[in-house]
Amino acid sequence: MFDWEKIGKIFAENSDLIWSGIATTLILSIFGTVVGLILGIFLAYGKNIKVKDTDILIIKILKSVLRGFCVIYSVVLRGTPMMVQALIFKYGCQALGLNWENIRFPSEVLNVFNGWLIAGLIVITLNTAAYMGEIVQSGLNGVDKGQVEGARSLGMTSAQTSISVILPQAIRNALPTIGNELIVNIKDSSVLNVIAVSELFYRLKDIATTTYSFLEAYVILALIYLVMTLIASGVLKLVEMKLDGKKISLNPFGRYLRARKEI
Amino acid sequence: MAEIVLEIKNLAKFFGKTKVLRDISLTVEKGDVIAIIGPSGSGKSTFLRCLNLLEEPTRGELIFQGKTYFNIVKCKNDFVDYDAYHKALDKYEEELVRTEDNLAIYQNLKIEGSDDPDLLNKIKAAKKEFKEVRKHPVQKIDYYDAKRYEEAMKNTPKFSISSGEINKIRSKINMVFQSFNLFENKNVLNNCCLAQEKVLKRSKAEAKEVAFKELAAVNMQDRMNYYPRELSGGQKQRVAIARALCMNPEVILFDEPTSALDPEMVDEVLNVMKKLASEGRTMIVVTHEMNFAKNVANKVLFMDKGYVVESGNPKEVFENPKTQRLKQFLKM
Repeated sequence: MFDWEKIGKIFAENSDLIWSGIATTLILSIFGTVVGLILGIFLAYGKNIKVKDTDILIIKILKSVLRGFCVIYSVVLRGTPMMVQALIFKYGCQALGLNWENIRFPSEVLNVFNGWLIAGLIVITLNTAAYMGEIVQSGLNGVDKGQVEGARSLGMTSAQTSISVILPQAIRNALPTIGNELIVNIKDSSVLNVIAVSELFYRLKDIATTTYSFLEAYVILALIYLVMTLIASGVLKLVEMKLDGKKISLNPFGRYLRARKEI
Repeated sequence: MAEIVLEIKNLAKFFGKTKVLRDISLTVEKGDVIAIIGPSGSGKSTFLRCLNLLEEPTRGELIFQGKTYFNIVKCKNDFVDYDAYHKALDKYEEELVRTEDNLAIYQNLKIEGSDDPDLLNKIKAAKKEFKEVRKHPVQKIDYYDAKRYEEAMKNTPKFSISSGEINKIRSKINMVFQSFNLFENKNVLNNCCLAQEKVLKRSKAEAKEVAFKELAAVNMQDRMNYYPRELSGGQKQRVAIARALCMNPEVILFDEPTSALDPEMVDEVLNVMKKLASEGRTMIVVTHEMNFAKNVANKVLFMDKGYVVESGNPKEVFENPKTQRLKQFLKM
């Protein structure tokens, strides 16, 4: 039977482990999303490289290779599960003689930082980058072509145009989808337990097997994930409102109260 | 005689088989206000876009203050036998329609339930014939004389210009668009400052000062911190004009600046443009505002189907047009 008292007990006895799990999950998802976005921008531009007739042969070859790499990268990374990618990464590194287990940090803060975390960060970043490439691409497509012409007609170079005019608008357009990717990352980082990254799922699985209370442990796990994703989506809403120049109200019922007053 | 700012020689532009601009020549002197009028699709906007190379011309020479920034004397299109090409194209399209109709007739018979035993074979044959015709479309390249082109190119030196130089020219030939094209992610002030800082390498304070001055000139000084989405069409267009003015351009190109505005806003933009004209700015204006062309411009070009049909001083052009086409256009 489901035991409510046990939930409190598990939480009280293992709070250190749970907090370190939460910290690891947050580090993984936030780092993965931010760095993945930056890589995704390069990926989106890489996939759009155009080979011109006027280019010399070497540049033509370089451009095609780069473009081909970006296309294949996003197809492969989006077409395979992250769990499989993590395992291939782990055993691939072992085959090359690099064992992430052996990498140790001088002082282990909260048991969070270790070699496996670095491996996990790399996997989640590379995986997210593939998705971000598509997201940024659709954001770029959403920007009016006139914006480019407006900037170019003033004499700005294409790099200046991209950085100061096009990219900010593309990322603003894509922000809801980027935020969605953060929420997906918070949940999906749980698959990294297969390479022993000690994130939230890994910790709770440990607690479940040591205390023999599986149901309770996983209910706790589900609740924590729910709270984390709710907070994340709330923060993203605030950021969007801020970027749109709207007044930020922290009272979720403010809208309804105002509506009643008007009546 | 006034200084020649912009010289355009035999400018031509082809999009596939359509000739949008055909050998247009124009000399722009300092202080000129040139109005280009004409029906939609006559190549006015393309002509303007070619001048600052937003659209690459197919052939022609462009000279800005004595410096050639585009020069292609011979283009591949000059060596295409257009008569034969168009003849073959017509014939091909005729054949395509004929075989397709043929096929449709048999297919309709089948749907109607005709009891012709040979019908299926006939459909097959018709389909085959249609596909056969479609397999060999008429291509322009078949009518293009590569040998003569290469021979001609041997004698003419190749023209090239770096993209940096083009950007420099563009910063002096600014453009105001029909759809405003203000930077949506920047407020009015930063819209005016951005290109100054990036292209002219002015300092932030200096750019701001120029922007204040030019925004005041178009009467937008109290909307400095607004974003483009918060402005009306007329206000946006005035900001766009101020943005161009900030670059201190030699020539300003206006591409139908009032076409997207309602009548009240048209006046506020036209007043700004009149003011610019009276200050002696060099302007080339594509417009449908005949009154503006008549009263403000000192030269009017009437374009149709890629040709300059008539040009001259506005009084002559508007009061006694020589060609039938212009009379028709002005409803005289």
